[in-house]
Amino acid sequence: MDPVFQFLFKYKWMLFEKGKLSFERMPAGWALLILVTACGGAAFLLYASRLRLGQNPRLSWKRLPLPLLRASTLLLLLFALLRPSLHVSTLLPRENVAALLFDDSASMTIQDVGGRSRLDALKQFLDPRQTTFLADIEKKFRTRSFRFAANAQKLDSPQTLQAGSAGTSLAGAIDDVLNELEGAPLASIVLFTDGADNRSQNLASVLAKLQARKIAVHACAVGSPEIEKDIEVVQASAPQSILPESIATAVVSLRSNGYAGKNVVVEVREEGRLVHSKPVALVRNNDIQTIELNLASKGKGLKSYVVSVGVQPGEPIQRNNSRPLLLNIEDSRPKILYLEGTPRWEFKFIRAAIEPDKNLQLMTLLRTSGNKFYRQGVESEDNLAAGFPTSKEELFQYKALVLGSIESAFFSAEQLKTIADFASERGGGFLMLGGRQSFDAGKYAGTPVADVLPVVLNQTQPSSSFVLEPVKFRLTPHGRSHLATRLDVDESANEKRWNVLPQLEEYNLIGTAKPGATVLAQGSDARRTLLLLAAHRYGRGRAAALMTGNSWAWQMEMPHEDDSHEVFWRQMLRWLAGSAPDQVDLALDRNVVPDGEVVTLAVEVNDPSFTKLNDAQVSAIITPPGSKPMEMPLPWIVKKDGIYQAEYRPLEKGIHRVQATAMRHGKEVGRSERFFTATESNVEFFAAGQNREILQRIASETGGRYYTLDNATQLPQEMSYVERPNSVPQILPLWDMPILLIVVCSLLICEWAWRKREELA
Amino acid sequence: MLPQKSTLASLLGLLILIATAVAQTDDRPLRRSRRVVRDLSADDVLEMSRAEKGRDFAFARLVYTGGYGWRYGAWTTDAPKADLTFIAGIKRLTNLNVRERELYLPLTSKEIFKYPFLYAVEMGYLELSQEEADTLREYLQRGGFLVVDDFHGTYEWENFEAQIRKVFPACKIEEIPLSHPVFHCFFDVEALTQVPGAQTLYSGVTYEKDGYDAHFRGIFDETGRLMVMINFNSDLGDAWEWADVPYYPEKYSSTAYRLGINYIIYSMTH
Repeated sequence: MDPVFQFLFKYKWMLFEKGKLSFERMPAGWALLILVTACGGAAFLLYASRLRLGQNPRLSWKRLPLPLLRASTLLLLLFALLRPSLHVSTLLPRENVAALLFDDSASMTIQDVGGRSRLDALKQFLDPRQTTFLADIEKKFRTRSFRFAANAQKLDSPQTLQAGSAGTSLAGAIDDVLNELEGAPLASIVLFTDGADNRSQNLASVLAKLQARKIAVHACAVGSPEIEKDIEVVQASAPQSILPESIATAVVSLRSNGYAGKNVVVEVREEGRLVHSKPVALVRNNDIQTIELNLASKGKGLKSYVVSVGVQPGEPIQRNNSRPLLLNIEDSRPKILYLEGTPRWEFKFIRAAIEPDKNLQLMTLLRTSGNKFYRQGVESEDNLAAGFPTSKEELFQYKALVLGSIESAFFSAEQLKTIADFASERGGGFLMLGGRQSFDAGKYAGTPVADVLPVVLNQTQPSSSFVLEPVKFRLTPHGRSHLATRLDVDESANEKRWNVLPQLEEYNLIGTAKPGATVLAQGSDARRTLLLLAAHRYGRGRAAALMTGNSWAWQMEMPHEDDSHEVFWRQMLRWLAGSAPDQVDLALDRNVVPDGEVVTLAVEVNDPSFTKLNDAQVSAIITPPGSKPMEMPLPWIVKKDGIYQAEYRPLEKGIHRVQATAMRHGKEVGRSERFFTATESNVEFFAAGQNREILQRIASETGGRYYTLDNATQLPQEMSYVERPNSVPQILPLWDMPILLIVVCSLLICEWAWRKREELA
Repeated sequence: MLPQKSTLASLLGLLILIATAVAQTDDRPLRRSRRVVRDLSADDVLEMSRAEKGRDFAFARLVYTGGYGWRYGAWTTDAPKADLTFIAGIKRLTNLNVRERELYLPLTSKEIFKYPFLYAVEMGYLELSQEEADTLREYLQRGGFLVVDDFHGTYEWENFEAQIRKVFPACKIEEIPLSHPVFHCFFDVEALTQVPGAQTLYSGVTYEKDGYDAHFRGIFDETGRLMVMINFNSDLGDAWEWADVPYYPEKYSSTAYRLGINYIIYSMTH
């Protein structure tokens, strides 16, 4: 389009953008008005007799274009006679400096420029034997060359670029150049890049600097905006830490281009050994699809996996087909408290399911008569000796709380509030089981516990809410993939196992789940759908409601080899306790840290009642794989209570162990341990298409322009039109623009043709 | 030589006494009920099971084949009075939501898996078919609990052991120490004493046959859970049954109630 525009308007569009229109022979306003009126009047007078105004209205309207065309012609001629011109600022040759920045990051090795790599295409473009590009710039500017990736460094010749650096920061590179050329008359920066920007953190402030110093940034983009054939593992994430024997759900996001509908296999490997795979049909181009992979966590300690999709024929980028994944299987036994109001088989069989599980610590309190409690699983004689905990300190030592069939009147108002706080403040998991003293039947409506539950109470009469009728427990679509209802890692096997379980003989009638709650299982009778299992997040914690106390039928009415009942309860309690934080809890913002990037360590410190502490001394000992441990203090960040935070940049690759310790008044409050792995950075190969948006933004916000290698030869000439303190004005006459002559001629031809049609010629 | 008149008179007198005793015995509700329940059909079981469903606990009596001759229907011994009297005690002493009626479950019924607690008596006359033995094994392995009671002496033990080995051929039958939770989970049982049957007490002793000493034995699963509670040389059933009769000593009934309730609470917590 640009050559056509230049032919018609004599100059490039860029000059019209940068310049200001003015007239060399502009008369006074009143004189201009007379001239314009004269042009129009002359045209109408010429045709006045032929329009027969007032005599034949139909004829008048048909011939009206004739004077209008003539008036337009006269006005255009008047425009040309006023000597229009374009005033632009231009730089004097070699008075100013231009910085040439060449992208030397790894993404420049991607071969998407007609079978050549981006770097090769750029080198060829810059080769003096191929183009005069650099020489043209040299004529107008004193140039300074830099190579850049995460930052900029001086460069002798673009031909020495190797594209080996991991990570690109456009903002960082530009900022480096601004600092380097602080005292020089820097007029323009030219970026030769694919726009892959994965490290920039302060682009806006750098753009503001450029605007303040009136430095135009021109982008000369390399590479295709869209990789024609590519499969990319955009993300692979799993919980940082899980309980032993849990099923961990890894979430993998894929983006593909050119393979829509193709079936591929997502694989998870541990030290090269395949541990899980899932076939996936790829969706539409560039759409992100999310896949959930269930990983059975055997043993304890750190597991390092690689999630990958096989390289397909014709894929130019192979390094974005995999992502590392780290899973820490905790060496801990979360404490779970289960309170039951009366001896019943549900209690026995839940205990029996959990007791052999050495990774869960189930403590139970069973009311066996009006004044007797039977404690099991307690750690000491004093544990729960006074009955159900009455203080936050006592209750909050557990990570999950299960209430069986026990009426709300059993608890004091303070205890009911503490149970609600257990979920919302402490972040514990809360579960209420069905029974003749549960939910509405236990008169929980209106209590703080009702707020915690994922179901709405007070919709049935307490007397009729416990129902002795058979009901089949059926998973909803959410339930099929939920961790709490996982009997098998494989989804279809999981569903089959649920389908063969016997029906339940009792349930608590609940009207609806709360908005935002997830219904995991339902049943039905002749009239309605029955809620049987629902869950939701409540504050920092989780809450679930199982509307039956007859899950023991899944044990007694199934062959003894079938472990569905045991697996269900172990999964359910793991899920409940799994997200509850420790008193001192370390969180990493990522557990896979690409080379050159930082990881943020954040420690939350609480007292036993989970009140956040701001006066602790927190430190972290980081143990890299091949060197000595190093200790770093983590200061309290004032804007958040109880949070102590610091950043760490790994210096070597491999798995790092982080142990955080919080001290207060000379005593240890608690410890927490996490792991991360520092890896070679493949960040350059993800979202690897040319980032046109960011380059256009940088150019437009600084007064520069966006080019590709195809039209970049125009750049040397165009970049000299910049308004700088040392630029000089240049007047470009417009009266002789070809477009004016063409339009005048066209108007006259149209007028003649119209006259011909009206038989006036 | 014909017996003398005085001898005949003595024999006649003895026969009259025996007949009178038998007639008195037959007048007891216990004997009447035994006649009623000994021939249970599958439908009878279902009807009985559904008659009072939805309770948290049912005191279920095991129905088995065996017990020949006058012992036909040995499983019914003391039923239903022992069951009903004991149930009343459970209701009074615990907060169990307990079924108020008796419940009889044969090993041939699938209903058995809805009731994880079983009480069985007269193990000296137990005769299990292979199908019954297989069902009982599966029942116990799934988590069921069996209390056996009211069998005495070497002969009856041998019969019980032979039958239980049809269920668990290699099982180890162990003496349960007083410190075991089954004796402390509800009542703190301080000593393990023999609980005699009512008939035995008439004779002035507390034992039957050569079962002089009471034994509290058990069969455990691989996790250490007590599956079968064996009251050998004791008769808790009689102690429950005759708890309301003045001539039966309160101390034995009291012990039987303590043990019985502990067995139930243990079965519902382990």
